[in-house]
Amino acid sequence: MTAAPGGLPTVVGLERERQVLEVALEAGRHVVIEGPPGTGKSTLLRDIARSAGKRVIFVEGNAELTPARLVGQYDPAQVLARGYLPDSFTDGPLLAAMRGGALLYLEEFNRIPEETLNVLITVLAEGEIAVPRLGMIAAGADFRLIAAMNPFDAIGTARVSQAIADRICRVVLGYQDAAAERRITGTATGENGEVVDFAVTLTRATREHRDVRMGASVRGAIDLVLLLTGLARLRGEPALALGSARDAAYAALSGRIRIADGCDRSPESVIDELLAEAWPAQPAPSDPPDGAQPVTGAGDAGDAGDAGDAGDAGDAGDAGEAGDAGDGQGKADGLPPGPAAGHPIRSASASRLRRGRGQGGSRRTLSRAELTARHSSFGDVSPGVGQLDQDSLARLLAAEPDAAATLLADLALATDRQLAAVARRLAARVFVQLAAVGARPARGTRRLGPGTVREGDLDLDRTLDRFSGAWPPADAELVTRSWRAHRRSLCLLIDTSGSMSGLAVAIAAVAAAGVVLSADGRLDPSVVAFGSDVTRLRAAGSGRVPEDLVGELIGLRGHGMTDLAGGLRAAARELAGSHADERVAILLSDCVATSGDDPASALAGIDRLHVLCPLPAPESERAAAALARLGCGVSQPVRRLAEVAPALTRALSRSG
Amino acid sequence: MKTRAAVLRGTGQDFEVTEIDLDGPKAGEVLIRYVAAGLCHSDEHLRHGDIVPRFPLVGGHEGAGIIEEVGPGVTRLKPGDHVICSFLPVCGHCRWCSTGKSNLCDMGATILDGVLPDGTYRFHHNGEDIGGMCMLGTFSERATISENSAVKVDDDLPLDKVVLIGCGVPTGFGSAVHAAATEPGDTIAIYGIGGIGINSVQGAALAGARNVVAIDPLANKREAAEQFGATHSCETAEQAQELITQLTRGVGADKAIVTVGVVTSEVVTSAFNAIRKGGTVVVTGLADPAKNTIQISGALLTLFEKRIQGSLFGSGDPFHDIPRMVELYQSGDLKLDELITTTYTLDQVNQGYEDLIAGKNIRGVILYPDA
Ligand SMILES: NC(=O)c1ccc[n+]([C@@H]2O[C@H](COP(=O)([O-])OP(=O)(O)OC[C@H]3O[C@@H](n4cnc5c(N)ncnc54)[C@H](O)[C@@H]3O)[C@@H](O)[C@H]2O)c1
Ligand SMILES: Nc1ncnc2c1ncn2[C@@H]1O[C@H](COP(=O)(O)OP(=O)(O)O)[C@@H](O)[C@H]1O
Ligand SMILES: [Mg+2]
Ligand SMILES: [Zn+2]
Ligand SMILES: [Zn+2]
Repeated sequence: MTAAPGGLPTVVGLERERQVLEVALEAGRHVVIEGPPGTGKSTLLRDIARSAGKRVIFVEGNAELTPARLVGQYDPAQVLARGYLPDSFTDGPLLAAMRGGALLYLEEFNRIPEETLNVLITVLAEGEIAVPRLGMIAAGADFRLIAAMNPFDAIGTARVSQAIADRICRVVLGYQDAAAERRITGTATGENGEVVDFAVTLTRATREHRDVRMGASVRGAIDLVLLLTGLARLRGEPALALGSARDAAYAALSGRIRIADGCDRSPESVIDELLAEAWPAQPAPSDPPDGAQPVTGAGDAGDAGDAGDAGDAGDAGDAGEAGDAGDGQGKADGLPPGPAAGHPIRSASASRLRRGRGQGGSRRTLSRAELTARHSSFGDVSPGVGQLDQDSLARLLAAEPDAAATLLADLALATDRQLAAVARRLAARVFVQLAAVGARPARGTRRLGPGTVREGDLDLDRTLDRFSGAWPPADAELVTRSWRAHRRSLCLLIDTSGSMSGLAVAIAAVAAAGVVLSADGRLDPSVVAFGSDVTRLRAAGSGRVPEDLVGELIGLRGHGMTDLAGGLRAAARELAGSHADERVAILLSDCVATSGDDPASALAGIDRLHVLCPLPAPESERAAAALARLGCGVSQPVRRLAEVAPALTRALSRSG
Repeated sequence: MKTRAAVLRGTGQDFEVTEIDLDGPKAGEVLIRYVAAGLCHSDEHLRHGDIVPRFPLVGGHEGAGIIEEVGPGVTRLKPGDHVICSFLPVCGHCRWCSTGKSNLCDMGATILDGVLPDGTYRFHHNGEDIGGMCMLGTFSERATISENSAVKVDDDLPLDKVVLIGCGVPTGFGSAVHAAATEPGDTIAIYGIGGIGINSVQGAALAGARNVVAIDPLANKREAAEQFGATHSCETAEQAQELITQLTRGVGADKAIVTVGVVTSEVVTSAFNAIRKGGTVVVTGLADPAKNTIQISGALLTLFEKRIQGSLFGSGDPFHDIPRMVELYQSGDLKLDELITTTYTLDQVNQGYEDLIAGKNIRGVILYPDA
């Protein structure tokens, strides 16, 4: 929390956004500014505040921002000594801004716990807040709330609640265009010409690279210029030298870009690749011999070495990382080049060999002739036996993601083994990437609760209850309030019976990856597939990575009949293992049971059942709705891959 | 040209892996590069002396490969084609071929000489003619074979797996489906679970048998049988008799299939006693042709109207059955991958047969390195 500083850069562009903001604030409205990091949210706001002569109070939003820290709190020592006197209350940033008629700037708004955000509702609605033992505080006429946040179209990310969203205007900022970015970088660094052009080109390229989930912002370009010119000065290089460019780019950009989930490469290898493209063609002599070497791309040795630890699926759910919200724009469409080296895909497990005609389908492979008949693009994607043209597939993914995903799911079952092997590796990564478009941990699973652990805010009321009067209070008399998890356990239950095929399989794969990615350690889901019998794909706490899970899942196909009740009971068994306050199952199925008991009889042990119904026929939509109603959950149709994440988000935010 | 091959020079000897000469294809013939060859018990019969062929002979009659060259007049195949070999040639014209019994084609007369239809040999060594087992000689990197011995298949199939459709799969499957004519609800007893018997298990299960009883003294074979569709397995014929009596309320098995490595009169008698009135014993396993391996009561045959049915190559039509089994493999109904217990190099062929005798393998397969 800092007060607004003085000397600020002049804002480049953003004229229209400024006008909207100024008018909104003038009209007494509160505003949320939404945009990826580095798009000028803070800069614009500071500038507006300065020109309006207003004070800004900055609050960095994060998961530890408790209501007390935002509103303010009594000084424990004074309360214990003298009781609750208004003098003993220290205003937090919210009260300070309200009383002072200032702008309260809440950054990372959607990372703030729901319980904390809820204290804002009356502030936004009524312009006042009731603070326990302090009384009603009214906001000054000039008080405004300005929130900033990254786009949040992600699995498991609770949207800002309707109660708040309904009382606030929204202004969206995107990345600057190239010219504006050059001007910003130039102004911030005092440089111009080639070095700025180069830094901006390279930085922008990181946002387009297909293996990158989130590229670097203009902050990267600014740092790159500063480091590059500094290095050149230090090393006495008269012109841009590739060696220094690489050193500077690693330092300025590698920490700022987020590699797509399921992609085995290091940020450095991406930078190397981009550097080779962005490097201005110029006569080599000015370079030192080693610097003159063209930088190798994806196949770099460093790349291979990093393959093992790049399985950063868990990374995606890391709440601690600021500013890595997926921007969801075009990042998932690309394919990583070259087959993955790192993730061994487990074959469709010890596929139980049992007799019976019904088993045949699950082992079925598809001949090239059949694939040609099913997919008009097959010939382009696989021009010959054993071949998979990744560029062609990448193009198809960009143009028609659903058709591409369906093809990929089928390719994974090709009779052509080489093709099937490559397709499985790719499919695992592509489906995880599709699921990971901005995948963010589910929020709102924690509540403030009292405890005697020595951390968190002092719970004065409870401490006073215990206080003997002897100063200083004993350890055992102190009660603190800290976040306690509202524990929820989750099982994703996937129908792999004969009726699930093609796109439905792709939808299931994306959902499975999505659930695991959004789990964030706290919500460690189990995943179970069922047809006529049940296969556990992931046990809670097993840590099985999504690539692995998806690789197995897409090999499971057409397991004959649909024993919904059997599947639900298996989910209940998975959930029974955890000590959770709420046991949630998400069922992905057409809900048409063709064998086993009535599914309604198998809901024991599931507190809430949500249903995602892929490619629903009216009949199955009805069945899904009925089942979800019985399970105290919601049922949602999923017709396209793009609908998977929002549907999961809705389901996950419904419970708890 | 030269090729490395496993040559059998006489009864009781090991295969000798050596370089020999190979002639290119003449009229109606093709040059094949083998990708894989299966180790069937029939070759072991030749080595052991149960059955005596013309020596010397390049072993191997289960094979799959890629056509490299075609001789004059070849119309069915072209270079680059992927094929599964049929261990019996099919001329298409003889009485048997033209009446839907092409597994009995007259061209099969010389399979133990290994001479090509024109009466000459393509393998030679130091001026000596060498035959190819079943006119194929799949224990060789390359061979020249009749176009009547090769069935073209799609390029995307794994030849190292579908090679089993050259003998073991159609023979075993067809013994149950064609020769025994398994019907839904049948109780089928299968004696001997090797590369042939296991496929009888698959065939019987797929044809809808209610009970598939697999009999083999070896535990690993019984376990495999249950994985491939057997409903019951027994260690001895006596146990099987008792079980079948229970399962059928004393009526007996509908059919019994004998696929033991070396057929004896004991096992045929057991099978004969296990079947019901009007039932069939299919004898697929081989033995010394000079021995009488069927000794049963003619009166019981008559009074109970039992049948004893021989079966060669599954009693089907290879050019029809081989593609059909490929399709069953692709549809997931027929398991091949899991049939292959061990793979060998050509140089390990004798080891492969030791393992077969020791009962270690469901099926062993020789893989040739990529050309
Ligand atoms: N008719 C044909 O067209 C044809 C084709 C190929 C093979 N064959 C013959 O089929 C037979 C089996 O070949 P394979 O490759 O499966 O052999 P294999 O050696 O792989 O299997 C033979 C199995 O029989 C078992 N066995 C031996 N004696 C037994 C007994 N008394 N009771 C029960 N089980 C017994 C063994 O334990 C072994 O598992 C061989 O004789 C072979 O020559 C016939
Ligand atoms: N439109 C702009 N005009 C001037 N500088 C900008 C602009 N956009 C970004 N910057 C510069 O980029 C950096 C990051 O901008 P900032 O406003 O902090 O982004 P955000 O708050 O969206 O993360 C700052 O150094 C700022 O000077
Ligand atoms: Mg900011
Ligand atoms: Zn054979
Ligand atoms: Zn014929």
